[in-house]
Amino acid sequence: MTEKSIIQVKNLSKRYDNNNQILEGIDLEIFESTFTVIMGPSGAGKSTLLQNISTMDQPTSGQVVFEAQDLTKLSDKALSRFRRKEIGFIFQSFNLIEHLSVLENVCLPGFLLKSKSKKQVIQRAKDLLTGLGLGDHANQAINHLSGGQKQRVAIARSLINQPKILFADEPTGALDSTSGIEVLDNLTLNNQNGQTIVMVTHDLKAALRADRILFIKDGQIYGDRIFTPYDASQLKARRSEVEAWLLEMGW
Amino acid sequence: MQKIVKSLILGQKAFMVTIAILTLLSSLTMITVLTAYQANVSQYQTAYRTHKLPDILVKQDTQQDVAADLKGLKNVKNVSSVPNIITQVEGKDKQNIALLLSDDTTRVNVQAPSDHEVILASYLESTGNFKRGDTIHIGNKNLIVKGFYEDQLLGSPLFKYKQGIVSQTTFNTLVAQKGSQMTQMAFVDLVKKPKNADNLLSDYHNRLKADLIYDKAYIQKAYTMLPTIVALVIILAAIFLFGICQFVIRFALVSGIAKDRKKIATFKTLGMSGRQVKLAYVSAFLLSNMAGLFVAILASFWTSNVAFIFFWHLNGFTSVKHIPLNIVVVLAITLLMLGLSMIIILLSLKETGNISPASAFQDGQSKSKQGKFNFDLTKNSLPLQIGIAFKDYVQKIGHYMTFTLVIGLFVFLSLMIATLNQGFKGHVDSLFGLPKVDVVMRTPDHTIRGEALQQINTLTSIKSSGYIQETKIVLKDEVIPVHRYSTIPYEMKVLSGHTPKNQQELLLSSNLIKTLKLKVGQKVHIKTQLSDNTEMTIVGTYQTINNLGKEAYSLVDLDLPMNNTYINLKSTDQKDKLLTGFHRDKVQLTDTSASSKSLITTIQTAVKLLASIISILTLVISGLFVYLVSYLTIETEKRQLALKKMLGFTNVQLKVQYLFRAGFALALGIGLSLILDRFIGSFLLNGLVDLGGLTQFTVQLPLSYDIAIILLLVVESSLIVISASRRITKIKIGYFL
Ligand SMILES: Nc1ncnc2c1ncn2[C@@H]1O[C@H](COP(=O)(O)OP(=O)(O)OP(=O)(O)O)[C@@H](O)[C@H]1O
Ligand SMILES: [Mg+2]
Repeated sequence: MTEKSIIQVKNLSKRYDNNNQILEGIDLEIFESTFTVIMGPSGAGKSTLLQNISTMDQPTSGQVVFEAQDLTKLSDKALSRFRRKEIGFIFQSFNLIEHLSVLENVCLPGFLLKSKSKKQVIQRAKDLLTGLGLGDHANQAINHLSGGQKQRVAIARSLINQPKILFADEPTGALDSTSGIEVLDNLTLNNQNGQTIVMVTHDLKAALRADRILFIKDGQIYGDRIFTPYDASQLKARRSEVEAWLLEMGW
Repeated sequence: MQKIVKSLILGQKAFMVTIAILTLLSSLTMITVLTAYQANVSQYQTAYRTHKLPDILVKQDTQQDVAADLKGLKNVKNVSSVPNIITQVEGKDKQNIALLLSDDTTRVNVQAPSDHEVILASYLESTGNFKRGDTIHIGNKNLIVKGFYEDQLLGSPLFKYKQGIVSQTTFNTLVAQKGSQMTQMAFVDLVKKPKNADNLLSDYHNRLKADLIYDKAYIQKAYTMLPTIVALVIILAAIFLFGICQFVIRFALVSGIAKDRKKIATFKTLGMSGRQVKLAYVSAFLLSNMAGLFVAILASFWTSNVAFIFFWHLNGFTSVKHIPLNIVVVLAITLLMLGLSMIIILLSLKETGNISPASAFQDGQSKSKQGKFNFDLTKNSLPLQIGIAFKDYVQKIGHYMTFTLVIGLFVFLSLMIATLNQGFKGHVDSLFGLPKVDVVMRTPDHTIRGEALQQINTLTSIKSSGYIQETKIVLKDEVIPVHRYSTIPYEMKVLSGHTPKNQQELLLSSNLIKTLKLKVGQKVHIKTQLSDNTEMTIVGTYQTINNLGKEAYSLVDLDLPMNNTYINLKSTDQKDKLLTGFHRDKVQLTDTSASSKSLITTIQTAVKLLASIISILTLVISGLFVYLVSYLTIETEKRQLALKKMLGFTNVQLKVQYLFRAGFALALGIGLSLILDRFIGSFLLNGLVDLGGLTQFTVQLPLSYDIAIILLLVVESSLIVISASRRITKIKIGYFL
């Protein structure tokens, strides 16, 4: 695998207004088509790191470089364009727009980007929803869906513009194990098709999907390890390997 | 409990302050206007008592004392007759003023002047005609103006009799002069107040020669006409304000409850009953209501006096009086305000009963409803920005509806007042039912009239002229002044029927036909100076200034002398030049608009002032509302905004969405106001004008006004929305998601 770096994080620090230093001098590279998982104790700063890399939040200092551009220095317009075009985001709490239908939620970023015609966007949204097993729910209200279904809608929405990177913050955190596995299978499938994914999780089952795990502790990258790509047939061996490493990290 | 109230008040500071301010404004206005209006009426009644004003006043142009004649009548208890001389003096800009002179100081509170002095009615001072120390020539005497007095009887805005008082000796000298014109003012007290004052004189043999100047009810109407119009408009505005206050309360409660769902649920989990929660809200909101009321009552001590003085000035008086607070008004307003607010609060609080801890904690936000009619972003070709804004608007329709209604009502009010203002601007003549005549010329006979007209024409070109006959007829036991024009000087406003075409036809004022319960087309028997019984047909109705009184227009009595000539000039600008430049013996030129001019200016000023106040209020209130709605929607949608930013919406795009949403609400509100204006505007206005004793209103507001008002609102709202939505920029995605 030729590993091409897609995002470079340089000396990133984050300090909140209340003067809590959460992240300190983080250096990190994310590689194309990889499935990177971020783990660590609660309150370690995992979500903070993810948000700072993905332009959801502004680091106190440091750089986040994407295609030779420092994302921390972009204007509002350029930032919005970056968010529309280059990334997708999935949350633990879904964060769908409740008064829009399933299809509208999925289409919205597509309409916003305008790189394709409205018709094409709708078609792609329908294809994505069908692929995620939600083909029959396109015109339903968000409130009428189960948690797992909502999360799959969120995945469809995040993929509508074929982003370069997909960020996920505990996407299975609010789901039962069956729904969680469905969501993870979807993510894995996308990754196998070349989608770069960066995911924060507490869940070992989710972490197994990674080909690289970062362990965050005390605001720093405490461990960083490459694994072989996920293979469902060798789950047991993989599980013990990952678990052993995590325990070593103090998980 | 206290803590909860505190947390509620702090949580909705903006609303609490708004409610307090709106309560303050509306109750202050109502207390002030009602107190001042009430004081104006009672002031008149007091004046009536202290000045021992008579029940009726009769004026008759004769040298003889009429007291004895009148005393002999059935219902008369007491008569005192005061002789007056009608003289001509030169006022400002050499204008002729017909001055009514007497030596009677008993009716008004002044000291008798010395032989070379005169005291004038204050009206002559306020119009700038005379000041203290001026010398005026009357007959062959030179008199110095000693001072001015206010006459509560004949100084009303409708009469404004130009009067003067001289010493007894001077008066007698003037009476003795050759050719002096005299008139008798008879102050009559009645045994029993008749239902109709006119019937009083039915057995008076000189009835057609005597003028019944007033009866009590008429003069009270005259005194309160302007204050009534002004008070009604202001009260209308105050009611609007109060209505808006209720809207804000409801709006604040509904959105507050939505926002505080979790808080309420927490209180409930902690074992607080639904009733206690409600009580907390009721006390919090009533508190700000009461705060506003309290300040309003305090301030009204001062404002009602200011308003009263304003009304008093409208009546043509300048002496300052102090009025106390009207406890009844204060109590009534307090009860009304608190009562209505209470009802609204309780109605709005029904929602809290439905909040169960489980439902509130399940999802931080209130359950959003899918719109009843489905507007699908994927199924229409609207630009995305507008589509989203529209969906969000529908989602928050409750908030925006309040905003829409407020804007609608206020723009409606503005349009109405602007129309009123417009009506008083250019069409005052017709509003008062006056024919548009530039000057009226009085001549003793035919030959002089012809010569005078020629002379005038050399000074200023005459556009048209004709004769006016003035006479009186008795119709259904009422004496009615009748006018007849040789040709109708301008399109006289015939409200129904047509103008008289032959001698047996009669046009009655719309008011008269109502009070006499007559109908167009009906045949009536009338008494004139020449015949005791003539049959005439009522062929129509028309407007006249004396909607308070009565007047008819007919072709009756062609043989009567035609002493009055009306003249319309080619260019009205020449009028002043003519009035000062024309001099001819035995010929009098008068500016017909002069007598009503000051009244008209007063009304115009009052209406203009009102229009400005209402416009400012409209702008302030709608601005306040736009801000509140924008602030609140952004506040409650922070999470959604963060989400939209995450999806790649720029700050500008998000702001534009809010602008669009406000735009929808605004457009709807303006549409509503235009519909209201179209369908009930003129109805309401005419009601007002009618109450004031004026004639009907047919003014159409020029389109440019509508456009200006709408533009102003749109610009204002846009600026406010943009300013309120600045906070969108500060919303951090990470914080909310
Ligand atoms: N907006 C904020 N202001 C101040 N402190 C914050 C803010 N957001 C997070 N923190 C603090 O930063 C630290 C890291 O938070 P973060 O959400 O990144 O942790 P995490 O690793 O994702 O934890 P978890 O596994 O519980 O999700 C925490 O101590 C938290 O209290
Ligand atoms: Mg987290």
